[in-house]
Amino acid sequence: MTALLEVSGLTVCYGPGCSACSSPIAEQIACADCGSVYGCRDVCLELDRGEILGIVGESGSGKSTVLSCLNLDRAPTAGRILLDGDDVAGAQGARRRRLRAADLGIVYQTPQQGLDLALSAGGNAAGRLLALDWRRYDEVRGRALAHHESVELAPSRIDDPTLTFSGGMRQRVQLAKALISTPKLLLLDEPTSGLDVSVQARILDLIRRIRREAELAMVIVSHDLAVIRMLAERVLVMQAGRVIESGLTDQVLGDPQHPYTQLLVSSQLT
Amino acid sequence: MTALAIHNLRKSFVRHLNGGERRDVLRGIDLELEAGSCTVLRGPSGSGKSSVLRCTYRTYRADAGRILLCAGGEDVDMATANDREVLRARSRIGLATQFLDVVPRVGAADLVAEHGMSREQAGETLSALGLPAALHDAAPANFSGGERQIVNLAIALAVPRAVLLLDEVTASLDPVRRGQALQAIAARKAAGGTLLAVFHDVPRTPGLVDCVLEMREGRLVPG
Repeated sequence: MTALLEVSGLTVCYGPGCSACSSPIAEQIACADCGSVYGCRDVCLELDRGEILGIVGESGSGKSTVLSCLNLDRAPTAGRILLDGDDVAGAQGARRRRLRAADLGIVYQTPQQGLDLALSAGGNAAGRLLALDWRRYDEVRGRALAHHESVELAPSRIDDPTLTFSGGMRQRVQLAKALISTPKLLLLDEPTSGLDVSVQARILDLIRRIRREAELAMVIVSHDLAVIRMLAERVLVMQAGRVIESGLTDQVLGDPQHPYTQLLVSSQLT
Repeated sequence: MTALAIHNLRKSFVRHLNGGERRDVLRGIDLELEAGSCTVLRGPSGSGKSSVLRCTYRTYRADAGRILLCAGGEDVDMATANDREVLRARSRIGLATQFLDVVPRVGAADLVAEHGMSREQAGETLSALGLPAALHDAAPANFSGGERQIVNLAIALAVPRAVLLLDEVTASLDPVRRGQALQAIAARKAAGGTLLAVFHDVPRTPGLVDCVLEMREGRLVPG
């Protein structure tokens, strides 16, 4: 059986690129010769159904760039993204909209990236169903309500503007929106950053429950190693746009090989 | 029948943050465990006991040697298997340490049940190991070291894995609970489980320990 997601050679380059900076051993994010800046370079990863892959690394290492390519927010300069065997890297127009609405779900670090805060919680989630040609009001409403409740939001708040929700509640609305179309792949970009620890614990608990119940594949980007340790079986460590180490989470965090990974692990609060 | 065979296992750590200092922690370990046996490793702190267990579970990546997991399925070399092969093999081999990875908001019984048993069975296992029923629904974040250790051991015993690696799993327990924990471990052995355990104080539970090996500076030495 093919993997759900196979990514190879994923590269995002802002600028023309040149022979110096496109070399496989080039290490700098910005090219001194042509001025191009690399969001990520030659990233490869594989994900099976029901599996959670973590991506860690410092700010600017390329984690969110990879995630935005996986969510088809941006087309990579080079590389392939095979979702269920289909290359979706360059998907455009109706195909891209359908893939994003049906097969991919994302929770951004900042809710305003993923939500229209002027819209109600239910309206945000229902938008994905409308993009998939759901037209019967009662069906859309019923499904939105079910997902609203499944992420532990009070049913009485479903028609309230998301603007009136707290940070933790907005993350839940994002989760409800992401899950409402039963996607194949859930992408989580720092889903608990900026939340207080009790709210963070509830969101993590929710993600664990979703994983158990839906056997959903997930890619989670976080700078919090404890979050990655708790959720992901395998992890990629990124630095300067490249994957510098990868493997089983307990192994990479327990026996880090690369100098940067050792620095990352030794910097962790325990 | 051999359950686990370790040949010439070597492991070193290179500390890049300390100027690339290299420390050899395992200097050629040879070990063969019969199915249904219990082998204890003992020795001073830093002698490499836990590293043997962690390399076997692949929390540490071995530099050289073979770690053949034979029990419970086809032979897998845990030293060289790829990530997915290791994840599959971990359904046949378990590692319990003295530390519990606490999950926020999840009660002790639910945490154990997540590893493959019903909630009722999880409660029975915790009770058998001496955790009061009143704590079964409480999240272990506020537990004492000993109570956390009981939860950790219950997780290790939740699924009958062919090989169980135990790293000081009774270190924080009072004598009564230590006895209960050792009885549960002995029961797993009696049911056919193969055990490789690190203990500072070798247990005297009847029928539990078959062999005690001494470690010094990354080597097995005659006891």
